[in-house]
Amino acid sequence: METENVLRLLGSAEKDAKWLDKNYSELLTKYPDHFVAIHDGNFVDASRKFEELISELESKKLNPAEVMIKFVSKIKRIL
Amino acid sequence: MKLPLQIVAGQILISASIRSAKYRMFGRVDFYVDTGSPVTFISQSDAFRLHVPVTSLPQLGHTKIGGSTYELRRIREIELLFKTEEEKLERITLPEFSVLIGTKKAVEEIQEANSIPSLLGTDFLTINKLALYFNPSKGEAYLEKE
Repeated sequence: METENVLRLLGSAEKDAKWLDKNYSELLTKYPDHFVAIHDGNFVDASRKFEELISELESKKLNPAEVMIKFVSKIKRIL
Repeated sequence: MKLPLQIVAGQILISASIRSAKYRMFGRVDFYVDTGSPVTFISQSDAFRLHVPVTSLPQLGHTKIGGSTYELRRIREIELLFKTEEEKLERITLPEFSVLIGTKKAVEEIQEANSIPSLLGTDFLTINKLALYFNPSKGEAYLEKE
């Protein structure tokens, strides 16, 4: 059961990464300098403020610990 | 054993399930694989998302990213699980992890710290004997264990 839960979580993560890659340009246009939340291969929400996005997820009964949240910006980051 | 990687907007991403009985934590972290980073860390925003009690973690040191200084704190007794090419789970660990946190309190600087992603650096690859294969023109990327 535990293995199934972890595989389900990682399967959802895979879908989220694929969705993010496919839709990155559109997100940059619609939500520059926003934190975006993606879950199970679907866009959930976006906000300029990270904490506000977490609150939104919780209000939608989603567990933030199981959601992909990425910051999208036209400024390319070099770490 | 191969761990498939995702290429997202030109960057290499790997997702892991993360758990810790000590911190009562279960969730996922989406790490960027960064061979330019000698340190693997969980970002401030991911730590917040996972309810990691960062203020009670011992300090490890400082690091600079993009001209700003950040604090590294030590987290232990956590476990990472990755999905293999064969759809099985592979448990890979470091004896201790770092959590990156911002040192400044201004709203803009907190936002800047929150925008930094979790990174999987060369320390992780070295300790776990993982080789990185990355061919962006073919859209292929994976980690392979020796």
